[in-house]
Amino acid sequence: MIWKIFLFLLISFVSIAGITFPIVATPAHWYEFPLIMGLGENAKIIFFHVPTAWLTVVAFFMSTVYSIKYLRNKDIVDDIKAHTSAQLGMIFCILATVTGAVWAKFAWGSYWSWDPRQTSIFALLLIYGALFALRSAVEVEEKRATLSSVYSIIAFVTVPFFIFIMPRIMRGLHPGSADDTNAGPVVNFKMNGNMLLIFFLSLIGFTILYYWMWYVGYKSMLYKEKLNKQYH
Amino acid sequence: MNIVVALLYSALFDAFVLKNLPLFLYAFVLGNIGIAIASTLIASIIAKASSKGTLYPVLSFPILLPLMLTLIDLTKQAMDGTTFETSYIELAVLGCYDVVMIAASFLLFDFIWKD
Repeated sequence: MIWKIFLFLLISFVSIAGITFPIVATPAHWYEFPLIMGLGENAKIIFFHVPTAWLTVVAFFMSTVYSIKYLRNKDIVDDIKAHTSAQLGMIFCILATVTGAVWAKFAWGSYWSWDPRQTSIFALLLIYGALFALRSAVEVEEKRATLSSVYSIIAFVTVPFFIFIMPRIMRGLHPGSADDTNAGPVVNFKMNGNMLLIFFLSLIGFTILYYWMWYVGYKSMLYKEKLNKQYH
Repeated sequence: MNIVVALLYSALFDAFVLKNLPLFLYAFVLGNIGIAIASTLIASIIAKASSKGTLYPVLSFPILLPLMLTLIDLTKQAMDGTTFETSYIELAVLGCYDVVMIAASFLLFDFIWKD
Protein backbone atom coordinates (compact mmCIF):
# COMPACT_ATOMS: atom_id res chain seq x y z
CA MET A 1 0.00 0.00 0.00
CA ILE A 2 2.80 2.35 0.90
CA TRP A 3 4.44 1.98 -2.47
CA LYS A 4 1.19 2.82 -4.22
CA ILE A 5 0.98 6.11 -2.35
CA PHE A 6 4.63 6.72 -3.11
CA LEU A 7 3.99 5.99 -6.77
CA PHE A 8 1.04 8.39 -6.84
CA LEU A 9 3.17 11.16 -5.32
CA LEU A 10 6.02 10.45 -7.68
CA ILE A 11 3.91 10.52 -10.83
CA SER A 12 2.06 13.65 -9.72
CA PHE A 13 5.32 15.42 -9.05
CA VAL A 14 6.72 14.37 -12.39
CA SER A 15 3.59 15.41 -14.26
CA ILE A 16 3.38 18.79 -12.56
CA ALA A 17 7.11 19.37 -12.86
CA GLY A 18 7.16 18.31 -16.46
CA ILE A 19 4.37 20.60 -17.47
CA THR A 20 4.79 23.69 -15.36
CA PHE A 21 8.50 24.22 -14.87
CA PRO A 22 9.44 27.00 -17.27
CA ILE A 23 12.15 26.78 -19.89
CA VAL A 24 14.25 29.91 -19.87
CA ALA A 25 17.45 30.84 -21.56
CA THR A 26 19.47 31.26 -18.39
CA PRO A 27 18.12 29.17 -15.54
CA ALA A 28 18.38 30.99 -12.23
CA HIS A 29 16.35 28.80 -9.88
CA TRP A 30 16.34 25.04 -9.34
CA TYR A 31 13.02 24.70 -11.03
CA GLU A 32 13.90 26.22 -14.36
CA PHE A 33 15.17 24.30 -17.37
CA PRO A 34 17.52 25.65 -20.00
CA LEU A 35 16.77 25.73 -23.68
CA ILE A 36 17.76 22.76 -25.79
CA MET A 37 19.00 23.67 -29.23
CA GLY A 38 16.28 23.50 -31.80
CA LEU A 39 13.49 22.38 -29.46
CA GLY A 40 12.52 25.29 -27.26
CA GLU A 41 9.39 25.22 -25.19
CA ASN A 42 7.99 21.97 -26.60
CA ALA A 43 10.87 19.93 -25.18
CA LYS A 44 8.88 19.21 -22.04
CA ILE A 45 7.01 16.39 -23.71
CA ILE A 46 10.26 14.44 -23.51
CA PHE A 47 9.31 13.53 -19.94
CA PHE A 48 6.28 11.62 -21.24
CA HIS A 49 7.21 10.52 -24.73
CA VAL A 50 10.48 8.71 -23.98
CA PRO A 51 9.15 6.83 -20.91
CA THR A 52 6.18 5.50 -22.89
CA ALA A 53 8.53 4.31 -25.63
CA TRP A 54 10.83 2.77 -23.03
CA LEU A 55 7.87 1.06 -21.39
CA THR A 56 6.85 -0.41 -24.73
CA VAL A 57 10.21 -2.16 -24.96
CA VAL A 58 10.04 -3.30 -21.33
CA ALA A 59 6.50 -4.65 -21.72
CA PHE A 60 7.34 -6.55 -24.90
CA PHE A 61 10.48 -7.90 -23.29
CA MET A 62 8.52 -9.18 -20.28
CA SER A 63 5.99 -10.70 -22.68
CA THR A 64 8.82 -12.61 -24.35
CA VAL A 65 10.25 -13.73 -21.01
CA TYR A 66 6.90 -15.19 -19.97
CA SER A 67 6.44 -16.74 -23.41
CA ILE A 68 9.75 -18.55 -23.02
CA LYS A 69 8.66 -19.65 -19.54
CA TYR A 70 5.41 -20.95 -20.97
CA LEU A 71 7.16 -22.97 -23.66
CA ARG A 72 9.28 -24.62 -20.97
CA ASN A 73 6.64 -25.29 -18.31
CA LYS A 74 3.36 -25.38 -20.22
CA ASP A 75 1.78 -23.54 -17.31
CA ILE A 76 -1.18 -21.50 -18.54
CA VAL A 77 -0.58 -18.78 -15.95
CA ASP A 78 2.62 -17.85 -17.78
CA ASP A 79 0.65 -17.42 -20.98
CA ILE A 80 -1.80 -15.14 -19.19
CA LYS A 81 1.08 -13.07 -17.84
CA ALA A 82 2.60 -12.83 -21.31
CA HIS A 83 -0.73 -11.81 -22.84
CA THR A 84 -1.29 -9.09 -20.24
CA SER A 85 2.19 -7.76 -20.84
CA ALA A 86 1.62 -7.72 -24.60
CA GLN A 87 -1.62 -5.81 -24.13
CA LEU A 88 0.11 -3.22 -21.99
CA GLY A 89 2.93 -3.00 -24.49
CA MET A 90 0.38 -2.30 -27.22
CA ILE A 91 -1.25 0.46 -25.16
CA PHE A 92 2.10 2.12 -24.47
CA CYS A 93 3.13 1.73 -28.10
CA ILE A 94 0.00 3.61 -29.18
CA LEU A 95 0.71 6.27 -26.55
CA ALA A 96 4.30 6.63 -27.72
CA THR A 97 3.13 7.01 -31.33
CA VAL A 98 0.53 9.61 -30.39
CA THR A 99 2.83 11.67 -28.17
CA GLY A 100 5.47 11.44 -30.86
CA ALA A 101 3.01 12.65 -33.49
CA VAL A 102 1.92 15.56 -31.29
CA TRP A 103 5.55 16.54 -30.72
CA ALA A 104 6.20 16.17 -34.44
CA LYS A 105 3.46 18.67 -35.21
CA PHE A 106 5.21 21.29 -33.09
CA ALA A 107 8.78 20.45 -33.98
CA TRP A 108 8.63 19.38 -37.63
CA GLY A 109 5.38 20.86 -38.87
CA SER A 110 3.23 17.80 -39.52
CA TYR A 111 1.85 14.96 -37.49
CA TRP A 112 3.26 12.17 -39.63
CA SER A 113 6.22 12.47 -41.93
CA TRP A 114 7.28 8.82 -42.40
CA ASP A 115 10.49 9.50 -40.53
CA PRO A 116 12.30 6.14 -40.01
CA ARG A 117 11.54 6.11 -36.30
CA GLN A 118 7.88 6.89 -36.93
CA THR A 119 7.73 4.18 -39.59
CA SER A 120 9.37 1.65 -37.31
CA ILE A 121 7.06 2.34 -34.35
CA PHE A 122 4.15 1.92 -36.78
CA ALA A 123 5.62 -1.41 -37.91
CA LEU A 124 5.88 -2.41 -34.25
CA LEU A 125 2.18 -1.63 -33.85
CA LEU A 126 1.44 -3.88 -36.81
CA ILE A 127 3.56 -6.75 -35.47
CA TYR A 128 1.87 -6.83 -32.10
CA GLY A 129 -1.52 -6.22 -33.67
CA ALA A 130 -0.87 -9.37 -35.67
CA LEU A 131 -0.16 -11.16 -32.38
CA PHE A 132 -3.67 -10.35 -31.19
CA ALA A 133 -5.10 -11.39 -34.55
CA LEU A 134 -3.31 -14.73 -34.21
CA ARG A 135 -4.65 -15.21 -30.70
CA SER A 136 -8.21 -14.66 -31.83
CA ALA A 137 -7.85 -17.13 -34.70
CA VAL A 138 -7.12 -20.15 -32.54
CA GLU A 139 -9.79 -21.56 -30.26
CA VAL A 140 -8.02 -24.36 -28.42
CA GLU A 141 -6.40 -22.83 -25.35
CA GLU A 142 -3.17 -24.80 -25.29
CA LYS A 143 -2.46 -24.43 -28.98
CA ARG A 144 -3.30 -20.74 -28.81
CA ALA A 145 -0.86 -20.29 -25.96
CA THR A 146 1.91 -22.21 -27.75
CA LEU A 147 1.53 -20.41 -31.06
CA SER A 148 1.25 -16.96 -29.56
CA SER A 149 4.31 -17.64 -27.38
CA VAL A 150 6.30 -18.62 -30.46
CA TYR A 151 5.11 -15.56 -32.38
CA SER A 152 5.85 -13.31 -29.41
CA ILE A 153 9.44 -14.55 -29.35
CA ILE A 154 9.82 -13.98 -33.11
CA ALA A 155 8.26 -10.55 -32.76
CA PHE A 156 10.60 -9.55 -29.97
CA VAL A 157 13.56 -10.60 -32.06
CA THR A 158 12.67 -7.85 -34.53
CA VAL A 159 12.13 -5.20 -31.82
CA PRO A 160 15.85 -4.36 -31.41
CA PHE A 161 16.00 -3.80 -35.16
CA PHE A 162 13.10 -1.41 -35.09
CA ILE A 163 13.76 0.51 -31.91
CA PHE A 164 17.52 0.64 -31.63
CA ILE A 165 19.18 -0.06 -34.96
CA MET A 166 17.18 1.20 -37.90
CA PRO A 167 16.30 4.69 -36.73
CA ARG A 168 19.95 5.32 -35.92
CA ILE A 169 21.35 4.28 -39.29
CA MET A 170 18.77 5.82 -41.57
CA ARG A 171 18.51 9.50 -42.33
CA GLY A 172 15.56 11.25 -40.77
CA LEU A 173 14.22 14.01 -38.55
CA HIS A 174 14.06 12.32 -35.19
CA PRO A 175 16.96 13.09 -32.82
CA GLY A 176 19.60 10.41 -33.05
CA SER A 177 19.13 9.55 -36.73
CA ALA A 178 22.03 9.44 -39.15
CA ASP A 179 21.49 13.12 -39.94
CA ASP A 180 22.08 14.21 -36.37
CA THR A 181 25.59 15.07 -35.28
CA ASN A 182 25.11 13.62 -31.83
CA ALA A 183 23.08 10.69 -30.58
CA GLY A 184 20.36 12.91 -29.18
CA PRO A 185 19.93 14.52 -25.78
CA VAL A 186 19.02 11.31 -24.01
CA VAL A 187 21.79 8.93 -25.01
CA ASN A 188 24.56 11.46 -24.59
CA PHE A 189 23.37 12.67 -21.17
CA LYS A 190 23.74 16.23 -22.34
CA MET A 191 20.59 17.34 -20.61
CA ASN A 192 20.85 19.78 -17.77
CA GLY A 193 20.97 18.32 -14.23
CA ASN A 194 17.43 19.36 -13.31
CA MET A 195 15.95 18.00 -16.50
CA LEU A 196 17.89 14.79 -16.09
CA LEU A 197 16.53 14.35 -12.57
CA ILE A 198 12.91 14.84 -13.61
CA PHE A 199 13.46 12.63 -16.63
CA PHE A 200 14.82 9.72 -14.62
CA LEU A 201 12.13 10.14 -11.96
CA SER A 202 9.58 9.96 -14.76
CA LEU A 203 11.20 6.82 -16.14
CA ILE A 204 11.20 5.13 -12.72
CA GLY A 205 7.63 6.20 -12.00
CA PHE A 206 6.35 4.88 -15.30
CA THR A 207 8.16 1.57 -14.81
CA ILE A 208 6.58 1.04 -11.39
CA LEU A 209 3.24 2.01 -12.91
CA TYR A 210 3.71 -0.63 -15.61
CA TYR A 211 4.46 -3.26 -13.00
CA TRP A 212 1.33 -2.36 -11.08
CA MET A 213 -0.88 -2.36 -14.18
CA TRP A 214 0.57 -5.69 -15.27
CA TYR A 215 0.00 -7.25 -11.87
CA VAL A 216 -3.63 -6.12 -11.68
CA GLY A 217 -4.19 -7.10 -15.30
CA TYR A 218 -2.91 -10.62 -15.08
CA LYS A 219 -4.66 -11.34 -11.79
CA SER A 220 -7.99 -10.18 -13.19
CA MET A 221 -7.52 -12.21 -16.38
CA LEU A 222 -6.63 -15.26 -14.29
CA TYR A 223 -9.78 -14.94 -12.20
CA LYS A 224 -11.88 -14.39 -15.28
CA GLU A 225 -10.52 -17.60 -16.82
CA LYS A 226 -11.20 -19.52 -13.63
CA LEU A 227 -14.75 -18.23 -13.43
CA ASN A 228 -15.36 -19.09 -17.08
CA LYS A 229 -14.16 -22.61 -16.52
CA GLN A 230 -16.34 -22.99 -13.45
CA TYR A 231 -19.55 -22.09 -15.17
CA HIS A 232 -19.03 -23.83 -18.53
CA MET B 1 11.43 -16.01 -59.58
CA ASN B 2 13.31 -13.17 -58.05
CA ILE B 3 16.03 -13.64 -60.67
CA VAL B 4 13.41 -13.35 -63.40
CA VAL B 5 12.08 -10.12 -61.89
CA ALA B 6 15.57 -8.64 -61.57
CA LEU B 7 16.42 -9.50 -65.17
CA LEU B 8 13.11 -8.09 -66.44
CA TYR B 9 13.70 -4.87 -64.54
CA SER B 10 17.14 -4.42 -66.01
CA ALA B 11 15.82 -5.10 -69.48
CA LEU B 12 12.78 -2.85 -69.39
CA PHE B 13 13.87 0.18 -67.40
CA ASP B 14 16.56 2.31 -68.92
CA ALA B 15 17.50 4.03 -65.70
CA PHE B 16 18.04 0.74 -63.89
CA VAL B 17 21.79 0.70 -64.13
CA LEU B 18 23.65 -1.03 -61.34
CA LYS B 19 26.83 0.83 -60.74
CA ASN B 20 27.99 -1.50 -58.00
CA LEU B 21 26.96 -4.97 -59.13
CA PRO B 22 28.65 -7.05 -56.37
CA LEU B 23 26.78 -5.05 -53.72
CA PHE B 24 23.50 -5.79 -55.46
CA LEU B 25 24.33 -9.48 -55.70
CA TYR B 26 25.21 -9.69 -52.00
CA ALA B 27 21.96 -7.95 -51.08
CA PHE B 28 20.07 -10.19 -53.53
CA VAL B 29 21.33 -13.47 -52.07
CA LEU B 30 21.16 -12.47 -48.41
CA GLY B 31 17.77 -10.86 -48.90
CA ASN B 32 16.34 -13.93 -50.56
CA ILE B 33 17.58 -16.11 -47.74
CA GLY B 34 16.01 -13.73 -45.21
CA ILE B 35 12.64 -13.67 -46.94
CA ALA B 36 12.65 -17.47 -47.26
CA ILE B 37 13.42 -18.01 -43.58
CA ALA B 38 10.91 -15.53 -42.21
CA SER B 39 8.14 -16.58 -44.58
CA THR B 40 8.60 -20.27 -43.85
CA LEU B 41 8.50 -19.69 -40.12
CA ILE B 42 5.32 -17.61 -40.29
CA ALA B 43 3.74 -20.07 -42.73
CA SER B 44 4.33 -22.92 -40.30
CA ILE B 45 2.63 -20.94 -37.53
CA ILE B 46 -0.34 -20.24 -39.78
CA ALA B 47 -0.55 -23.84 -40.95
CA LYS B 48 -0.95 -24.95 -37.37
CA ALA B 49 -3.24 -22.11 -36.39
CA SER B 50 -6.06 -22.15 -38.88
CA SER B 51 -7.25 -23.71 -42.07
CA LYS B 52 -7.53 -20.34 -43.78
CA GLY B 53 -4.47 -18.76 -45.20
CA THR B 54 -5.75 -15.22 -44.99
CA LEU B 55 -3.88 -14.61 -41.76
CA TYR B 56 -0.54 -15.16 -43.48
CA PRO B 57 -0.02 -11.67 -44.96
CA VAL B 58 -1.16 -10.09 -41.71
CA LEU B 59 1.57 -11.90 -39.79
CA SER B 60 4.36 -11.90 -42.33
CA PHE B 61 4.26 -8.29 -43.55
CA PRO B 62 5.43 -6.68 -40.29
CA ILE B 63 8.06 -9.36 -39.69
CA LEU B 64 9.49 -8.80 -43.17
CA LEU B 65 9.47 -5.00 -42.83
CA PRO B 66 12.99 -4.43 -41.45
CA LEU B 67 14.28 -6.74 -44.15
CA MET B 68 12.40 -4.91 -46.90
CA LEU B 69 13.46 -1.45 -45.78
CA THR B 70 17.10 -2.48 -45.57
CA LEU B 71 16.99 -4.20 -48.96
CA ILE B 72 15.39 -1.20 -50.62
CA ASP B 73 18.09 1.01 -49.14
CA LEU B 74 20.81 -1.36 -50.39
CA THR B 75 19.36 -1.58 -53.91
CA LYS B 76 19.25 2.17 -54.08
CA GLN B 77 22.85 2.32 -52.93
CA ALA B 78 23.82 -0.29 -55.52
CA MET B 79 22.25 1.85 -58.22
CA ASP B 80 24.01 4.95 -56.93
CA GLY B 81 27.32 3.20 -56.89
CA THR B 82 28.28 3.58 -53.23
CA THR B 83 31.32 1.68 -52.09
CA PHE B 84 31.28 -1.31 -49.80
CA GLU B 85 32.70 0.72 -46.93
CA THR B 86 29.82 3.19 -46.96
CA SER B 87 27.06 0.60 -47.16
CA TYR B 88 28.72 -1.73 -44.67
CA ILE B 89 26.15 -0.94 -41.97
CA GLU B 90 23.17 -2.00 -44.06
CA LEU B 91 24.89 -5.21 -45.10
CA ALA B 92 25.63 -5.87 -41.43
CA VAL B 93 21.95 -5.35 -40.56
CA LEU B 94 20.96 -7.76 -43.34
CA GLY B 95 23.41 -10.37 -42.10
CA CYS B 96 22.20 -9.93 -38.52
CA TYR B 97 18.58 -10.34 -39.55
CA ASP B 98 19.40 -13.57 -41.39
CA VAL B 99 21.40 -15.03 -38.51
CA VAL B 100 18.80 -14.06 -35.93
CA MET B 101 15.95 -15.49 -37.95
CA ILE B 102 17.80 -18.74 -38.61
CA ALA B 103 18.52 -19.10 -34.89
CA ALA B 104 14.91 -18.36 -33.96
CA SER B 105 13.65 -20.88 -36.52
CA PHE B 106 15.94 -23.63 -35.29
CA LEU B 107 14.88 -23.09 -31.70
CA LEU B 108 11.18 -22.57 -32.20
CA PHE B 109 10.19 -24.90 -34.99
CA ASP B 110 9.84 -27.94 -32.74
CA PHE B 111 7.39 -26.09 -30.53
CA ILE B 112 5.28 -25.09 -33.50
CA TRP B 113 5.17 -28.36 -35.32
CA LYS B 114 4.94 -31.00 -32.62
CA ASP B 115 1.69 -31.21 -30.73
